[in-house]
Amino acid sequence: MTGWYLGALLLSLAGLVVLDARLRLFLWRDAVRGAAVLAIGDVFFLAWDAVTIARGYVSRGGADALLGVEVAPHLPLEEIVFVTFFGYLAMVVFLLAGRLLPGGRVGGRHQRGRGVSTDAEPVVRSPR
Amino acid sequence: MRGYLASGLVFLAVAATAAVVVVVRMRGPRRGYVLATALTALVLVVLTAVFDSVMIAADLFRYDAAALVGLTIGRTPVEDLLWPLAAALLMPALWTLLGPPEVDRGD
Repeated sequence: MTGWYLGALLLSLAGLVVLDARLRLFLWRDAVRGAAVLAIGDVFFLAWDAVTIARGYVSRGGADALLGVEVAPHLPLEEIVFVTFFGYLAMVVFLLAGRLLPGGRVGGRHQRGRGVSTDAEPVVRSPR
Repeated sequence: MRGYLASGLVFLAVAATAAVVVVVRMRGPRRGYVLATALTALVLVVLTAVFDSVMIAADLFRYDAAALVGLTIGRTPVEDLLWPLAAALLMPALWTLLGPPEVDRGD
């Protein structure tokens, strides 16, 4: 079936979106900051792709799974979706880990003398 | 050094630099950030080792064998594991760098 790779990617992406939205982890916590992070990540990984393609290390396969649409030589459309998905996955795993692991605070507010809160809504502590 | 590995290490170095900058500048305890990053790296590397093999078996992309070191996990060239490592280092660093500055209230 043509295009099942893109389908699989979009399905996986949808799963991340649901998790993000439910737990308010990433884009559902700060959409602008999150979008910027994804955009920069995209540039970084697509640059990596561009280098490996230009040097001939990697080339597009002949799979039916691909739609066959190329954004650039040997760079299928699906790759844009993939790098975005991968960056999103990295952030969801990281922020989820930040909430679940002890020693909390990841990437933001530190309040000395009150302990650290995880990268989520501020921890509500009872008055001293 | 083979080309695919060499080019990958350059990008990994950029990502690692971003992560180091964030950790060095962090005023509060760093343990949470480092632990979360390490866990992210582990998860992404495992997923990559699995899914890359599937993608290669599905002929989504091909490699020039001469550019590879030749070590694989399943069908995944070991060099491909630099990607998830870089993602785990870079993405949280970007999020932190773009986030609000740490406030040391000094209570």
